[in-house]
Amino acid sequence: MAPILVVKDLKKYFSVRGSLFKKVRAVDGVSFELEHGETFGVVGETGCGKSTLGRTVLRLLEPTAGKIIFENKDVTKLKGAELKEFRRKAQMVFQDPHSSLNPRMTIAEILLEPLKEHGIHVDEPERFLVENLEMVGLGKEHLYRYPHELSGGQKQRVAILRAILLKPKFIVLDEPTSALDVSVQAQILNLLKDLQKKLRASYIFISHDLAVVKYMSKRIAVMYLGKFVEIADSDTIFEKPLHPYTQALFSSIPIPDPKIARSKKRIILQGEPPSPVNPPPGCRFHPRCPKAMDICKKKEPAMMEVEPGHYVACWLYAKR
Amino acid sequence: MGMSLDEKTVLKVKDLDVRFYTYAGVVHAVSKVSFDVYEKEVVSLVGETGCGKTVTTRAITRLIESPGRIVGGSALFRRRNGEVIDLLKIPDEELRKIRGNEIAYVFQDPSSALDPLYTIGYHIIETIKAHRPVDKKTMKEEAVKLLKQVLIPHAELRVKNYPHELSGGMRQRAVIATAIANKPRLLIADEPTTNLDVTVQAQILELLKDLQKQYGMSIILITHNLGVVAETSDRVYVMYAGKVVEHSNVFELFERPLHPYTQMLLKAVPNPLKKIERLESIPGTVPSLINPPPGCRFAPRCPLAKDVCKEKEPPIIEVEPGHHVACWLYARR
Repeated sequence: MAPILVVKDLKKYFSVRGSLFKKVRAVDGVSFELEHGETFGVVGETGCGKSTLGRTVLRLLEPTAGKIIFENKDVTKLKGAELKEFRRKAQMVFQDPHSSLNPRMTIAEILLEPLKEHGIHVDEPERFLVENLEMVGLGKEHLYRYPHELSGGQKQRVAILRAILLKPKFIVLDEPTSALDVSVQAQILNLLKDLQKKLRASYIFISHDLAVVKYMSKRIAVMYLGKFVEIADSDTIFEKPLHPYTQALFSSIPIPDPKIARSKKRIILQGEPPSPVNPPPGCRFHPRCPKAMDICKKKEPAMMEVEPGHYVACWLYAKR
Repeated sequence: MGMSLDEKTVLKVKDLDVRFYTYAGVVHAVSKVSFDVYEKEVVSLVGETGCGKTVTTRAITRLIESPGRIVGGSALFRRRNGEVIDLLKIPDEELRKIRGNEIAYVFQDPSSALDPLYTIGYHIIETIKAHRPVDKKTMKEEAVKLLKQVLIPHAELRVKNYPHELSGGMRQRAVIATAIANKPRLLIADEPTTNLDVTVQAQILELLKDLQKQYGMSIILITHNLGVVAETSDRVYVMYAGKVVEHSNVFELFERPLHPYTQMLLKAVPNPLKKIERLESIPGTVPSLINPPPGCRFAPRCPLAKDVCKEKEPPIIEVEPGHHVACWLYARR
C-alpha cells in the first residue's frame, strides 16, 4: 500500500521582525513518509523545529516550500471544500490541554463543535457523547463540566476524544503527555495505542522524551536545528545510533535503573544548539560534534540510506 | 540546647506537619514526614505533582507563606561549627544567617530565581555580602571564580551579563554558582533540570555531582524523574499524598521496591533500553488532601488494598536493614 502521507523537502521559514533578509529556518528541508497505521516519532530538543514541522504538515502554518502529499493530493495546493475535507481527516492533539480547550465551553460543547463545523449530524448527541467518553475512560458525569473542573489527565483525554470524533486518518500528537505525571502519562499513552488499533489511524508523535517516543513509535526521526539527522526503526536507532548527535542525545537519557545508569558511557555535549537564524555552515551539528572533520565545516551532508531503512546525514558514513 | 545528632547526620527532620488553611478547607500538604540527610550524600525526594516534596524542603528553612503553616515537627541541623539547632524553633534572625549560607536552594525555574534588573555578578556578590565580611575586589574575583567553577565560558564577561542574555542552561548554572557561593553544607535542588533539554540536563547533573565531591556538601534532590534519581542519588524517599511511603538506598529501591505505589510507579516509566509491550498505569488519581482518605492514602488506588488499609494508617517499618516501608503488607499487626 502506498504511504498515507509523503512529505518532500518541506521548509518553513519565519521572518524576523525588523529585518528583510533574516529568517528563522525552523524547518529546513525535511522529507519522510508515513505508512498506514504506523506511528512515526519525531524527537529533538527545544527549538529544533519539531512542533513547527507538525503544524506545517497539517497546514496550520503555510509552508515556505516543499510538498505534502496526502491521498495523492498536494495539501499545499488544497482549497475550499477539499481543504476542509483534509481538515477532517487530519487532526492534532496539543501539549497543553489547558490552553487547547476553551474554558467557557462545557465538555459537551467542546466535543460537538467539530461535528457541527463539518456538518455531521448525530441523532442522540448525549448518548453518542457518553459512549465516546467511556471509550477514553471518562463518563456521563463529565459531560456538562467545564475544563477547569477536570484534572490535567482528564483534560487531555477530552482533547484526544475531540481529535478522534471525526474519525481522522492521521493525527499529529505534539508532546501529548509532557504536562502530565508519569502515572497519568502511562494511562494516556496506552489509551493512544488502543485508539490507534481501533481507528487504524497513523500518528506523528512529537516529543522531547526519547523513552516515550520509543514506546510509541515504529520508526523514529531525530531532528536537529530544522533538519532530520537520522531516521530508523525505533529498535535499531536505540541499539545502533549512527549520527554523533543521536549518540549523544541517547546517552544523555537518564535510565531508570541505577546499575545501568552508573555504568553506561555518557557523551556530554558542549554548549547548546545554535540559533536557527544563522545555522552554522556545513553540517549544522559540527560546532558541538566530538567527531567533526574538515569537510563537516564546509559541506552539508545529504541524507543517505546506510542500511535498509536506516538513514543518516553525516559525513562519517558518506562515500565522498 | 541538649539536642544531639549522629555524627554523620547533617539534617534530621522528624514528624514534619505542614497545612494550608484555604477557603476550601485545611490542606494536609505534608503529614508526619521524617527523613535524614547524611554527610556528603545525595538524597532524593521523589513523587508526583502535589505529593508534598517541595513543601517539605521549603519548610526546613521555614519558607512557607500564609495560608500555609508549619504545625509540628522538628528539623535538627548540624552547623559548620558543630552546634546542633532546630531550624523550626530558632529565631528568624538566626535562620537568616543559615539560609543562603549553610543551606542553599536551587529552584526549578532559573528565570524567576534571578532578578532581571541585576547582573549575574550582582546576584553572587549579594549572596556573599549577606554572610561574609569581604571587600569588594575579593567578592568580584570570587564571582568570576564561581562562574568558572560551574563551567560558564568567558566568565569574566558573563559576570556582567543580565539574566535574559543567557540561555536556560547557562542561567541554571548561574543560579548554582550563587547557591554555592558560601560553600553550603546542604544544597537543596528542587527539580533543577526539569525545564532543560536532556543534553543540558546531563551537563547540569554532572556539574552537581562534581561540586558535591569538591565541596563535600550534602544534596537533597527533589524530582519526579526516576531516571534522574537512578543516576544521581545515594538514597531515595518516595512520597505520596503528603507522606513518605518508602525509603532505602537507590539500588535496593529499584531492584526490590516494596510499596505497591513504588512498584507501579517504576513500571509506569518507559525504560528506553527495554522492549515494553505495555506500560502499567496506576488507575485513578491522587486523593484530595483536604479530606485525605483515612488509613493508607494510597489505598483507594491500590490493587492489593485490604480492609485494614482503609481504616488504619500503616506505620513505617524497617523491613530490611536500611529499607523502610509504610504498608500493611509488611507490617505485623
